[in-house]
Amino acid sequence: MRHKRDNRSRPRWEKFKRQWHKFASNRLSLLGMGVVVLLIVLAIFAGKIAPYPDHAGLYLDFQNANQPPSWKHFAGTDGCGRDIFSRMLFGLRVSLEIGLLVLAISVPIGVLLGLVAGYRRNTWLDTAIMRFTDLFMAVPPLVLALVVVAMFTPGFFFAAIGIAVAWWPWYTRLTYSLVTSLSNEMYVRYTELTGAPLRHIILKEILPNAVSPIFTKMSLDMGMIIIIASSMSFVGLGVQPPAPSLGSMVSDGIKYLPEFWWISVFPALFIVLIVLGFNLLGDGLRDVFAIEEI
Amino acid sequence: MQSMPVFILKRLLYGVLVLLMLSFVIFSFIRIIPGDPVRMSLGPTVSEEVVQKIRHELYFDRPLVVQYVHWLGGVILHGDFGQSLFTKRAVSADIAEFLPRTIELALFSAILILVFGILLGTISALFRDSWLDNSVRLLSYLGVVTPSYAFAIFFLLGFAYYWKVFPLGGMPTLPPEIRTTGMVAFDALIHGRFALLGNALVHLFLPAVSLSLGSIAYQARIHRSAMIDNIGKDYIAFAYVVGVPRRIVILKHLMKPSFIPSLTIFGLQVAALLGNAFLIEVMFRYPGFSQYSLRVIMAKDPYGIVAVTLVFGIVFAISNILIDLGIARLDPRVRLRTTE
Repeated sequence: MRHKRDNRSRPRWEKFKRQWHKFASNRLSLLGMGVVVLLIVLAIFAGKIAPYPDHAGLYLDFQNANQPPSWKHFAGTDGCGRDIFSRMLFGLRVSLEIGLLVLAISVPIGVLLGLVAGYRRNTWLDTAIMRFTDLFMAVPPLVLALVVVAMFTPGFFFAAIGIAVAWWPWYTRLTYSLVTSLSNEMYVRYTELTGAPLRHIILKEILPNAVSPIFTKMSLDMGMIIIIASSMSFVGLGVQPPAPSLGSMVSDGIKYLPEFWWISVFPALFIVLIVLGFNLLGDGLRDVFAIEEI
Repeated sequence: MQSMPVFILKRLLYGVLVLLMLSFVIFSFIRIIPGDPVRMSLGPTVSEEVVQKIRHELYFDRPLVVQYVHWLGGVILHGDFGQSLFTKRAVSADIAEFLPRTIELALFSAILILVFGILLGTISALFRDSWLDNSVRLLSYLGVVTPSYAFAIFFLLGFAYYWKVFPLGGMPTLPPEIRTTGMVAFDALIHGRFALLGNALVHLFLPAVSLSLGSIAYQARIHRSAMIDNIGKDYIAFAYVVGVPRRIVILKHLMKPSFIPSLTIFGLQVAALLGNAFLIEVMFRYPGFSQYSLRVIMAKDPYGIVAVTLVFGIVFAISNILIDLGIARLDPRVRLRTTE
């Protein structure tokens, strides 16, 4: 039994090794992966790494307000005397959580609808799903997300829901185009002839071959979603204070420009770093899987 | 199969249909959400009778379909988008005041994207793998990952606070006697008020640049890869072999097909501009439609929200149709398919 499994897993392992070699041959992709891994570690252990973990929430120390960057406070302190570097780490955690939550909501919904519509092409079901999708793509994602959040209560959870409402159609579109090309493949046709149920064909035959482009898009989207989430907290409809979020840290600092520039500049640069990491990683994956357009 | 006008008409009809559905969805959303929208936007201090009166005036005490049809009739017959509870006046008046300024900002940015995105992409592709190409690629990578508000902060610090070359924000008001379109720089230009035009352009510069830099970077990347795809094609080699001058090969045979993917992306970028304008208008205190939308959304003003999404949807749809037309002009395959 064990012997048999080894034999089966060998080609898969070989394929993985080949793909890894291709991925690792591009230094920028490796850099992106390094940045992303580092960010994830920082986010998980934010409580341990941050020099002043209690500054993440409501904390006032006006004696130390608006201190410039120093060895004690790497990124200076804000108007309440809180250590900006510590708050950036917790803000990073919030950003990653929002990104994951948005993907966790929008990817399954979007992919499932795309699979069904793509496989039942040219039926009323296809038309209904794709027209419904157009509806959510008719306005810019940030506008839709803001409208959704405003109708509920601003905060972490509804910010994620709002972005997810604007985000799933892209996965439907992507999966739809993947399925339309895959469903003409011979192996799918043969499975159809055996009388396999629709569920089996969609989930077991088509989906596994559509996974890598979807996965790559998720990595590329992470950066975009983090920008949108930070924009929402920037205008006050995202994560609510005193919880730290990079977007609201940037917008808080605007009124202190130009004297206390570090209050908004460091969180803004941190967002750039986060997005850069995810984009480099996503581009590397795209090259490995040889995906042309996402 | 079908002629060009029929194609455009179909697209327009479909666009209108999508927007009607969308406005209906937003309306039902406002009604389904627990809590009275009128009470929520007026606040807790207003008396119950006033709320009831306004509920009646705004059709909130009648069934959803009745309210929707009444609103739709107003939009179609008199261009009336209902009353804003936030600004206490007709939403259409608000749109007329704020939208032109944002359109002007977006147009300015769109021109920057088209000119500089294409220019940088072309240079990068023609001098492939040179230091010029590498620096353009590096810069465009950084441009893509930087949110527009981060650019805005850096520009404000550098050009407005430190060097004081550009104003911190705002926009000169347009004297009512020369108001034609509501776009400050444009109206100043057509009425020959050059001092006002200069002042408006100076105020537009930083917001437009912060808004467009990320898109310029992305546009350059797309145009570069589109050009590189085409450079290797046989027909380009053939053109060189038969002695077509390099300038003509580049401008005619290389640029034209490269514009097809480039224009598609440009359409998406223009749409993204409207979304990003939110933050830029807040940062530069630019009195535009995005800032108005934001206030309306925050105030949960029902008719305001519907109108805002509808206006964004219309601008979105129009830019998409224009892009499709542009592509049809450039791409003989699309053109032949629609005119056969």
